[in-house]
Amino acid sequence: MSGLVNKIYLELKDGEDVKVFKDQILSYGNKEFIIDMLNFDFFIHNHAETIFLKIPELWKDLSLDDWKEIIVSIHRPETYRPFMEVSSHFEDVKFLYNWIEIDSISLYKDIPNLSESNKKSLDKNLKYLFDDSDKRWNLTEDFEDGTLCNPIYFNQAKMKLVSQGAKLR
Amino acid sequence: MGNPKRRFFSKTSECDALIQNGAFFMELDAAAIMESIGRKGGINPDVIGSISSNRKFALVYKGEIIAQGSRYDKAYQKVLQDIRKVSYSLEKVGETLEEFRIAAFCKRTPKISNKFPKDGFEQLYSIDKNGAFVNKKGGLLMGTYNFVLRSNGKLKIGFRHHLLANAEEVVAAGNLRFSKGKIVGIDNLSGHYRPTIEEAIKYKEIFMNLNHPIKRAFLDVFEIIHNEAGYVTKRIKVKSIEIKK
Repeated sequence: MSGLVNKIYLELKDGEDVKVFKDQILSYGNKEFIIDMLNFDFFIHNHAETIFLKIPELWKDLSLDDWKEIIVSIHRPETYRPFMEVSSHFEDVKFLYNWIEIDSISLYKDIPNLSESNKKSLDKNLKYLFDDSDKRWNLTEDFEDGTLCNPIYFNQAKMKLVSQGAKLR
Repeated sequence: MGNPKRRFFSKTSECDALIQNGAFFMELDAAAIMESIGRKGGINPDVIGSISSNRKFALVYKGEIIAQGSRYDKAYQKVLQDIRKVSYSLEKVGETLEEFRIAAFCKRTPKISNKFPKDGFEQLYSIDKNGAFVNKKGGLLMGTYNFVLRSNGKLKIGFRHHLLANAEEVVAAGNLRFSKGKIVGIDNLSGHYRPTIEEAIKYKEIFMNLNHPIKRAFLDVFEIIHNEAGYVTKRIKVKSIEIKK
């Protein structure tokens, strides 16, 4: 388990703002941090989504291959119960689908080296999880006042990933 | 020594109730008790108590020390007092002794730690003078949390509804969305409690009756569909109510 992820987990739990850890997260390695965060069994999905929404530098330059590597590297529990669990094991594909607006379902289905258990868990749970996003709340004010990132980054990332072969959802 | 009438177990019947249940007092310093027995002619709580006011005794039941201390130790005296309260009944004294024995046994037995202490948590908060929710670091609450309104009206927020509710029934359950410390969104999404549409529509009234600040929040009411095993399979938003006052 990553010491930084554990530390952030504990600090967020106490109410710390994730932006305090921005430099540490970015110097950790963007892809590596996302993988370690989503593999940490107790990292709350809301917190993972907040990190994505507050620190665009974490994902804005990731390539489609980087995302595929992330998807392959997450160990998703077979016993996951949608809407009851609070872990963030599916936040990679959810973020891509809900915020970047690319078809992360066809993306993971086309990854040849995705393990059978990972694929099984994604197949079983994703159909339930795509409406389970903060996006259903009205976050306009939070985007406008700078609490969350500039939404332009979502579109830029989408264009980049589409140019590399991703499909729109 | 004070008023003898105020001493516990000064009456023979109370001592009898203990003895008949197999309990006994033991002075913790064995040498001292032997000396007291020799000097005073036998074990009698009154006599033992009169020898020295700060000597320590243990009340033993079924081989377990269920309480120990001097007459000045509050915890020890509390146990004696609880036993004294039921001393009218031999059976009740036995039941009380058994409760204390179990508690003492559990207290001294090594504990097995929770291997997943991080699996969900309660977010501690307070409400500042402006009515905003602040975390324990003093920051305004932001983002989405699970919440329950417990049967005593207390609002608990954090992650994992059944943990927040101690697995008990609740008055309301769902999510709260905070912006700058204010509740701006409420819903009824809880996989453990699955509040119905009818139950969720009452949330506005419930929050207001309990004086939890929800002015200018939106209440999103969902229909929660579940499978035969009880697990949620779909959530459909059926209504969004703006709470103005």
